[in-house]
Amino acid sequence: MDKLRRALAAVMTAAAVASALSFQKEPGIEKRTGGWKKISDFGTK
Amino acid sequence: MRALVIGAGAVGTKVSQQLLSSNVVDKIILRDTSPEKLGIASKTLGRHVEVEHFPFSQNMDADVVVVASPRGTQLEAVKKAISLRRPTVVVSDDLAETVSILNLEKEAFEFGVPVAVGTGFAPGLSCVLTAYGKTFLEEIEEIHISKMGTGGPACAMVHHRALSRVSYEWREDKWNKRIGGSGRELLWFPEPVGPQDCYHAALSDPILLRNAFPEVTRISAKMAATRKDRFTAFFPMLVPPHNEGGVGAIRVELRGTKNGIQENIILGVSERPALAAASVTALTAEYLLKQKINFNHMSTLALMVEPSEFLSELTKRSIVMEIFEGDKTTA
Repeated sequence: MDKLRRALAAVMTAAAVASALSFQKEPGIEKRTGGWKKISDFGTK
Repeated sequence: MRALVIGAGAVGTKVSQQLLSSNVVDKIILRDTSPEKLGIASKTLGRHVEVEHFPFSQNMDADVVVVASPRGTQLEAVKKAISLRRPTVVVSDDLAETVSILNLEKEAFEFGVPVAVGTGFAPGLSCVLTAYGKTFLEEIEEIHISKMGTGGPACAMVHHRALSRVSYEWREDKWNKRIGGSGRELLWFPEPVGPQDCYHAALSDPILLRNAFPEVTRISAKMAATRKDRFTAFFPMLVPPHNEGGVGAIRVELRGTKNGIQENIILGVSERPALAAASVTALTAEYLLKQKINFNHMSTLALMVEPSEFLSELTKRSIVMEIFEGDKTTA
């Protein structure tokens, strides 16, 4: 029973990792990168 | 020049401190009904500030009146200041009281008294950031404000109540009611605040922004809250609020068009809310004294000041404005 549970957990982990990797590789998925940047110039004289 | 600061709480004390260092004001009178608060403020500010144990709306002999008293006392103080023709700055963060203050617009106009409504972190800095963000776009369609954190105990009380009250959102020519604490949205604030779950709340930003930008089709305001905040919002505040909250943040998102293309502009600030509110309020009071404002009647900061210049001046006072820059890429 314990072996079966371990095997099931391993399969589920492998499936989760595989789906995450395939999601990353899927073409056309839009990703946004960037971040907060300090504003130093407000365009005032 | 004399300034009367009503309310010796976290914001009022800091406003007095900042006005002292501005060299625009010769004398500051700090007034409160609580001798304990005045005692603490007097220790912090020293002998340069005259403290008055007086009712809030009495004898306003000053060139500018700053109303930073708790919710429920601001309306009377503003009424009195208008009747005495004193230029007034109201921090005002409670929704119902802000609406009541805005109803005094006609009196302020008739008396020719400048009254700046909503000069805190949000509303206040949020309104100026919106006006600044507008300069990036040709047309704005939507404004979404979010805030996190509280200043002093009075601010914490307003925050607590806001989650259990009805929130108003402007959408396609009418006010839509939303239940406070609903509409969860994960929003990214500038560091160190970072991502926070935000909810509808009874905030006054949409009312003030609608006055300033009547052409915008959607205006909403949300507040960061925890599960505990949302659950306890319906009960009286059993634990006394802290003297001053930690670092908070505001985030202003504008959606509109530029050169016919849809654009989003996201601006934000991370700062201690009481300190940021005090900086905005003190600078507004200085603008009123120097007559650097656009109107001589009641208005919000979004219309009253030139946003670039105002924000540039705030930056010199260590309030850091940030913009979210995202690179849109296709993997």
